[in-house]
Amino acid sequence: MGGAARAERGSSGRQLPPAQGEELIRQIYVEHGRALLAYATRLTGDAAAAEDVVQETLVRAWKHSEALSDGSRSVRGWLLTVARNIVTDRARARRARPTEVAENPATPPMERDHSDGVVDTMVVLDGLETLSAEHRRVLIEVYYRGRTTAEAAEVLGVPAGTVKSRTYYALRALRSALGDVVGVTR
Amino acid sequence: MSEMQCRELVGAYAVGALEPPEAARLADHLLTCNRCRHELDEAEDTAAFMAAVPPEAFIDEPADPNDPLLLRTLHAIRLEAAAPPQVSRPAQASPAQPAAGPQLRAVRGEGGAPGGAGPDNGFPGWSGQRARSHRRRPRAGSASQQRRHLAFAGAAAAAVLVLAGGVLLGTSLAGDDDSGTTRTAPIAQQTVEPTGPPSNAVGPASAGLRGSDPATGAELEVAVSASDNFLTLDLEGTNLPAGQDVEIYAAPSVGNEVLVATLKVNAAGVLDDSKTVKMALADLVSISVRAAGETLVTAKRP
Repeated sequence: MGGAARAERGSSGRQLPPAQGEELIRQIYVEHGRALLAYATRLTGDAAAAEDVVQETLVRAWKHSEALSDGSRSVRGWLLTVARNIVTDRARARRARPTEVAENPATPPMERDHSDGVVDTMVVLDGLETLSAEHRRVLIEVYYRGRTTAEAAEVLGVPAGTVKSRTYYALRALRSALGDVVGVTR
Repeated sequence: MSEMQCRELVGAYAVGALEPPEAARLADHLLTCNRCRHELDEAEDTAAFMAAVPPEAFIDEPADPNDPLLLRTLHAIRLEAAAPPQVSRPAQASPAQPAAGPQLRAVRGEGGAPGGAGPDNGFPGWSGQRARSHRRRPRAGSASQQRRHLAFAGAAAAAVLVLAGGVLLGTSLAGDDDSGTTRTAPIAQQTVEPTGPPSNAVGPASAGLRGSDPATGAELEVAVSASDNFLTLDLEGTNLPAGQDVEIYAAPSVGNEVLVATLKVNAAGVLDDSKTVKMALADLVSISVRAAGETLVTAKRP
């Protein structure tokens, strides 16, 4: 009985285990897993919940593996955005609905943010990606790692004055990179 | 302090990285210099956009491919793949498509990440926890200030940004060429080019092994996918001794067989599991299922 069933499944083109998609997910995990898990952990404040979020994110990545593997946009930005969406959706699902329907001025509806030109993670990551390595590194140190110019100078091995001017020019470069996308330039 | 000197400080000032004495001197200058104030406005606007990217985006150490989290995830993916197709969506077909090696574009952090920022480092400077600018802004209600406020408001704003992000994401994934700018060709086009997969070294590789044993009636089908230095075996066996523990062995072309796992056959005599083994795909010759030292079935390459 089992044999017959198997034969039928085999001849009717049963979906093979999607080795391709799995390989993609494996590579994505190796490359981005730690960033993703750290981010999910901060958002959820809970290690187990964070792992759930990462898993769900990767499953979605697998479903969108074609779009993800075309190399045209930041995979990491996509993953971080999806993880954040999942956390938000779960938080929203947990909340009591009636009290949340009323619009709160502190949480304006998305259309407004959208048209207001708030850019998303992928766009900014793409923008940072277009910068020179020196510009990107200085912004990572002084902004994302919150270092002072003196601290960044030590980490980067350049004079503090260089960190200051580089920060200025890096921001300008980022502004023009983002300007193409979100119309920042006035 | 000359205007040019001040100009170059504006960036560091905007992200709150200046040491207090220097920040104070620049603040004095800003009182009297419109052009530098304008520069600062622009720098702060740009810095506000950076808040859309979490600091964790710059963690660059690779994760361990043997993490239980990844193995669980792959299992979940297999379950989804095995489930009957629901709503037909284009992405559903992609895993089975013979694509070239995934062409991920890494987001570079810093080159050598000395010491590295581990996931638990906490990123004290993350804008969610600390105001980024030295300047208190007295003007209220301007559009740019509101945008800045949204971007800086930490967790609450993150939720808001998600919504916008979701919209952008949805549209950008829906089409291949929606961005309007010329980018890398979609993978479907790249695969038809005769140049072959670009990254054979790390590209995916897979094989299917199957076999049956006339004596025991058992059948075994193994889908093998290879990564850097290990194989994932998707095992499907039937007509195996129900409820018994069986051992899975992988035989390499050279050297001794490797015990992959001991698994329990279910009550229907079916084995359906996935295991990894450290072996190169080219070396793998066969997979055997054994119980009490007796081989029940062996799957070989076709």
